[in-house]
Amino acid sequence: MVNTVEYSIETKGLVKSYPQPRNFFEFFRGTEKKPVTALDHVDLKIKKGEFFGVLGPNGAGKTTLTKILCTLVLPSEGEVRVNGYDVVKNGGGVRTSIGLVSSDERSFYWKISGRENLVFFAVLNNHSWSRAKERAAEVLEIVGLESAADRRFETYSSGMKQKMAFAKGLLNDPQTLFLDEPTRSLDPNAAKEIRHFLSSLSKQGKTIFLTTHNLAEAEQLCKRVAVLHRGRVQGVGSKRDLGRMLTRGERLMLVVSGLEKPGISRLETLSVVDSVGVEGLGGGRVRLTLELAEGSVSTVLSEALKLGLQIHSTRTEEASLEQIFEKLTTEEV
Amino acid sequence: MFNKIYAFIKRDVTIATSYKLSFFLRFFGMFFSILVFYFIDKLFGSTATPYLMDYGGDYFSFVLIGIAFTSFLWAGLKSFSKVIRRGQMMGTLEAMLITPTRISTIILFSSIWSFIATSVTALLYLAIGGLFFGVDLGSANILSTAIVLVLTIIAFSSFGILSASFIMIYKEGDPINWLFSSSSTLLGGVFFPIEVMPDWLQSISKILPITYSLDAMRLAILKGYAPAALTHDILPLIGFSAIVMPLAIVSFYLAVNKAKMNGSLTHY
Repeated sequence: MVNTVEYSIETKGLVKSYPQPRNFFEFFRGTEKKPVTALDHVDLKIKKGEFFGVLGPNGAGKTTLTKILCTLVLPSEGEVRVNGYDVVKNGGGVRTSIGLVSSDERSFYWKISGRENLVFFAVLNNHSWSRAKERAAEVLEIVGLESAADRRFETYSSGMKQKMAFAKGLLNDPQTLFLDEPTRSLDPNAAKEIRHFLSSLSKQGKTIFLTTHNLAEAEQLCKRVAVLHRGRVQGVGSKRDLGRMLTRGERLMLVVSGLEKPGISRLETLSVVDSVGVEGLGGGRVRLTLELAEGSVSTVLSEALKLGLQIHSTRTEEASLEQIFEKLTTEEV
Repeated sequence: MFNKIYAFIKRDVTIATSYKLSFFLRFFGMFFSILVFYFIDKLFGSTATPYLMDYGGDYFSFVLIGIAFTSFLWAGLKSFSKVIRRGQMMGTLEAMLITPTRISTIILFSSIWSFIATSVTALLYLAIGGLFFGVDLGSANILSTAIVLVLTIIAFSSFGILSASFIMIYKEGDPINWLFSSSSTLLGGVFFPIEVMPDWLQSISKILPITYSLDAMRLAILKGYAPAALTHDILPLIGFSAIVMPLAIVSFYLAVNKAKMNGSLTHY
């Protein structure tokens, strides 16, 4: 039984395959085409109030996943619950509890004002006419667009349109907010403002589900991320968790002198060392980059001293999200 | 529910009135089409009289009601699929489908403005005919006209919903619309009484709802027939609605389900 209290989003064995369109001749010949698998046994558990990111290259299945969670596409197999509602059996329940913010400017009526757009969508969110007007005013204030509210949507800048998308997504005060690349096509200042706004929303206890290509943004905002590749979840967790998946733990950077070839071999044979990278710096100095098991820095350092190495500097670092993303989306893990 | 109806109408009126020139061009278009038929009546009107005795013998009045109320055929057949198509093209369909409002409500309420605009157009046709071209509307039976109008809208809409099911799946190329729009204009008695056609074509016209709708409308407006005198038209219209509407609703839900399965609900 799926826990409806702890998790805002839960998918179990989610599979989505799309039939491939057939051309005129294939249709009349009855030629069958193998369906394309967009999502392949996706299991996710996203806690209430979590800021969760989904990363993946184009065609990874991010949009399909978001659309299934928003009830716009039906899953082929598996169980999917959003805020406790089954997306297949109770799509209406799901939609009362979610908001979607996309970067698509076309999701508004351009010939009417921003306020009129919001009142219309608020009524579709089951608000009465008077409450819809109040709610539209509230969300306009939240996104800071009160002064431009009565201008036609077509006159807004890209940044204002994106703020309107947020305002629309917040109309029903959703428990879970889906964000589909919300800062795409925004200038750096506008994107920064949106990220600041997202942080404040997260602090209000809303669950936020972000799909993005912007790794820096995900790194800054998300507590956990899932990396999707070819419809499969290649990894889920915090940046540190994902980094550990790839390297067992830590990366140690040493600048040493007095290193001979047998010394490198000795370090490579240590059970706590996954790999050793060597880079000559000139003047007899060498930079060693060692991928280590977690908590084994002291072991390696004492071994280095035993080998007679002179250590000039030490530094540990975690793998960046960009490195993790590259690794997870270019090879099977 | 009324909040939603109001919201849809307000949205559509605001958008429609933002295209000011379109409104005036539509009005002038109506006036010119009336003028064309007025002069055709001047030229050939008397030769048509023997076929038009049931409706008072006047060709211009006959054709005026034909073109005024055929607009309901277009509204019924096309407005639902147009709502879907426009929403898919503009991108607003997805924005509406993400709300708790059901897709059937969205499609139905989005079509209301189209029917209101069509009613205004039909009234304008009649008003222009009555005020400027001497069409006698004095004996019209309002109750009969209202009943026939409601049944007409339901019957035409059931075919329109069926048509929307095709648009939901295939996006372009809708056989229902194609079949009914071309056959109804030719065989439904819009521009000439069906009695001028050969018997075999008249038999085909008997399976089109527009034939009964226009016949009843003309008898109600031009001859003032009471509802009881129109049962030969009213019963077939009820029959069309009773058979096609449930079929259309089931088809529409199946189409939505299929579009959600193949992920094409908002594709265009």
